[in-house]
Amino acid sequence: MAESPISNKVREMRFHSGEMTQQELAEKVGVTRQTIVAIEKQRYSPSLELAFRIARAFACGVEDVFQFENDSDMTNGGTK
Amino acid sequence: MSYQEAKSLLMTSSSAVILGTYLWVVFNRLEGLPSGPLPDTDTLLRFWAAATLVFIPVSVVARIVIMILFAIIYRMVTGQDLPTFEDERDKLIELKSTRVSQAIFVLVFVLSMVPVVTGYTVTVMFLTLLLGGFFAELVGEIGRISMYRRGV
Repeated sequence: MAESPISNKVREMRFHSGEMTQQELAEKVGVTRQTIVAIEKQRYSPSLELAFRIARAFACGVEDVFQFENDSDMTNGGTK
Repeated sequence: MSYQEAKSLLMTSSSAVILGTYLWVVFNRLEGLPSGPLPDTDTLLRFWAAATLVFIPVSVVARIVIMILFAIIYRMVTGQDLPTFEDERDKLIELKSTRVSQAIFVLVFVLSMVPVVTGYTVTVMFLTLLLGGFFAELVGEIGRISMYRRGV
């Protein structure tokens, strides 16, 4: 499976939100705990809607939680 | 092992058992036909069509019973609540594994015509379809487990 260019700080954000559990976050955003585990391990890139829900759960913006790491591809793709 | 992985393994093994039992019963009946185990093509077609029509509801009911028993046993053994809904990741994995299964089954369907063209009986065609259907499901379930473990 190819590594996703999208990384995230979900684990870190949970820690800073009073050590919120994976189950609590899953219930807040309406997914299973396994999906939160997969997102934290970067084995699954959530949909835009779920990314917004997660960001809202931490009361911050999407880019505070998710980062697109492959900036060079973005630049090349944008100029071609 | 997660609930979804255990469910996939159970689906595959129960399919193997159901298909094996079904084929055993069908071949016993085929040998017991009044015209012998090698009847004419029309009789064979009617036999396999009837056998397939019976197989579908029987396998559906058997699977439902197995899934209910599995849910009860899984809860007793692990003490975990079963997932009450499928989220976007589950649906994506379901979609991808179904697509793999369907692609393989389409190939099997085309391949099942080869025995008929090359002079084998329709029994070989139906066997190819049934075993190919099982193979398609097996690959789909392996893909599903792989996606749950390694990522989508």
